[in-house]
Amino acid sequence: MAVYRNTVLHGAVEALRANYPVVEQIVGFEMFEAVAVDYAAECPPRTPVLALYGARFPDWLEEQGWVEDIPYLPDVARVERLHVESLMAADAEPLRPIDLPNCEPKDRILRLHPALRFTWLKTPAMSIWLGHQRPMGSELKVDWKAEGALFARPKPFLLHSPRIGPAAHRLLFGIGLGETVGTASSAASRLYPDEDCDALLSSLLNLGAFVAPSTQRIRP
Amino acid sequence: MTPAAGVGFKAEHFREALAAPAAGLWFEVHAENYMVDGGPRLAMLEAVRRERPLSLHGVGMSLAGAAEPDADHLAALARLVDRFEPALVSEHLAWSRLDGRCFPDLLPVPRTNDVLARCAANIGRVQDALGCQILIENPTHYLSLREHSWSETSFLAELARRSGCGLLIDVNNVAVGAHNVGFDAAEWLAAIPAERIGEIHLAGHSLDAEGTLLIDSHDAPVSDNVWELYRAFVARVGPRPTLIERDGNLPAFSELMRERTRAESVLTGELALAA
Repeated sequence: MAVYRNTVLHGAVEALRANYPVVEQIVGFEMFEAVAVDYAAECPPRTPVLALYGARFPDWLEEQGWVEDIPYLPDVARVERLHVESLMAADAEPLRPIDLPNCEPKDRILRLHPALRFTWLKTPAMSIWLGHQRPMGSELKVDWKAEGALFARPKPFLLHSPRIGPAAHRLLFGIGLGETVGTASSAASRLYPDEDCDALLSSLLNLGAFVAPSTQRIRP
Repeated sequence: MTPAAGVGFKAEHFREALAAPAAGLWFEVHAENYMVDGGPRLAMLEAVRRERPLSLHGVGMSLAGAAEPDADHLAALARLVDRFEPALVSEHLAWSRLDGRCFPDLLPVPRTNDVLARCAANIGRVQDALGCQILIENPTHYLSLREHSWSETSFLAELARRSGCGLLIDVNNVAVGAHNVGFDAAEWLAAIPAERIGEIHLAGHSLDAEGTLLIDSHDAPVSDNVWELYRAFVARVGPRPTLIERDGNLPAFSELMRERTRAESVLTGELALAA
């Protein structure tokens, strides 16, 4: 039966490898293999669709004792997870800046684009992830501080992956909860008075972060 | 579908696959890899489908499992069939689901009357849900189960007769199983009823670490003995759509196309004889 056991594990390990390539680059091929085998034994696939396998992997990594030597690794895995989720999420026509009326859109309610993913990280894991997207061998300069990660995919083949600051994170978080643009931006401005929230909002619009609510009309 | 040769589609080959001029070329993908909500994967497959016929090859329906096919999984497959209108849809004679856990592999089936009835009923459910015939692929063998009461070829023929499914004959699986379990590959192929065969798979295999078992690894070119079995098989049953499968050690697209040309020459040789 060993050959079946091996090929069963192989499927899950390869699916995890496909979804966490930067974690693999950081720990190396053999270490990743060993880690993936442990993960697959503890969190076996629940569906034959492996495209999104490994949802618990970042949190699972956090629980492993050896990860203390690479404290940013679970956050890098979180970034990779958001990347994969954004790639596999539903497509939708994004709201364009010209779709917003000329009047101040302060009382507008926007919906987040289905392929938008973002998070706040206590380590510079997004910078590390971005460094690994460049050709191998280029130098990685990382400021050791907390930062945000954003993935926006307004079209099937167009992916934006910027770092974001705390004000942009607060804006998106509020809008995602259903706050109006006005409420979200005044909260962000109060917390981070140095940030230009109007400029942030228009950058987010340009990245394709929102869709227009299908039923929600602009209030008069 | 005209009985031409196709290749497994990989995202790495997207541009070349779209631009390939070969007449009759078609592509096959694992259905499960496209059971996602949106994004570049599905967009690529749409672009490929606009140019070429497509075959959807499922690996996760667990047709030989104790339970009926999973309703969500079947619905996801039906959505793909509606969207991509594949020329061929196929699945495996295997089980891969038990107690809510999924095994990303194709586990072996004891060929008993009960299993035959269960598989035929499950295939019927899938065909009803999809509104089309599906092809069932013969598995690879790594060990002999003692519980068999049917020979594999008669089991497959009876399964096709009862359920109305067609057969996908993987010549590499036959060669690998013949080596591992000890039967005659040519005799096996000679016993499959020609009229049921809807597709043929060709792939490479490798030897395991101990050097005893052949593994259906899809990571090497099709071996000479598989080409020889294929040639004799096509000579007997006539040309059928034939796929060059490659999953590991992915070579350049041109390399796969060279193997595809070789399969095509076997098929057209047969067409020329038939004309």
